[in-house]
Amino acid sequence: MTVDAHTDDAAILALRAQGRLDEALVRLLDQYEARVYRLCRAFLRDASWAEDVAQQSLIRIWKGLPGFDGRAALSTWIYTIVRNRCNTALRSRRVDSAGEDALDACADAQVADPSAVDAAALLARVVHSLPDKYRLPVVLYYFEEESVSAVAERLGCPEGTVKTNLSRARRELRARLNAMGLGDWTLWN
Amino acid sequence: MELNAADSADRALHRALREALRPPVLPTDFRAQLRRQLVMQSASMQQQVVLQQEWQCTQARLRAESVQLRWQTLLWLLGGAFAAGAVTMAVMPWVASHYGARWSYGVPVAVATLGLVASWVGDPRVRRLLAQSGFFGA
Repeated sequence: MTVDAHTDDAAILALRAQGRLDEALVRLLDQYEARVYRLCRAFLRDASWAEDVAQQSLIRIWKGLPGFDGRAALSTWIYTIVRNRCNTALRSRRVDSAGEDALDACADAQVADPSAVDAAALLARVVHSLPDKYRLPVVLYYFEEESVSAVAERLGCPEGTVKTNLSRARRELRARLNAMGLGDWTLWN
Repeated sequence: MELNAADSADRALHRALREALRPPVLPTDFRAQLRRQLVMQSASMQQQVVLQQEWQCTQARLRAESVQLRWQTLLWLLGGAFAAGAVTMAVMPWVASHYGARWSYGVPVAVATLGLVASWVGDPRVRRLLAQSGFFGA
């Protein structure tokens, strides 16, 4: 987290405390709405579902802001709320498994003509079939401009853990792509 | 050589992942929708506060009225009892002298019976029972 981010967080809290609600809200949203949305997208995959949960999270954050005690950084508090909301949403609604079933079938049968497949879409699906432990760091890494520290902050875990999981995720991805007959990397270029 | 192949595979996977996992763009009306929801929630909360205040006021008024009614009833009962006593004191000697001593017991008993029946019939539960049994007609 940078000094600027700290200053912005302090400004948000100060504006909120002074009762300048509109300015505080604008600052909060400028700073966090896109990040919250991306985090929700990483967790939930589905765009409209992520939008709903991101909105709920931001409302919860805005309402809870007066009670924020400052024991942790504002960003840590915010991302914890978002993660909890996402996990609650995931628990309350089973993820549609149709896509994964299709992917499994694809993996079992091997791709007959890899060049005919939309490479990016297929790779995204393979990534989404990874366990959350590996999927979330990979997705967030690319969503957050390839910053390990940003991923660690969003997931609330040490950078070392993120690096390890990223490395294992790539290994797992390569193994799965090989199993699908898509191990030839010239296809991806 | 193997190391180079692994490196190029890594780089290729990295490029492919960068392509496949582009950062999602925030929906265009995201903030407007969020503001609408915040306004709606704030309005509904204000409405809730107003309703709660109104309810508390109504409750306090009803409680005060109930206490007032109880006092009124008590005073009416006391007044009625003393008035009945005064009337009895005034009328009984006259009844006894004109109709005989038996009537000085009969009149109070008759009045007491009438009063009891009237209060019994006036009780809403009894009235409901009588209405159900068809006593007051259809």
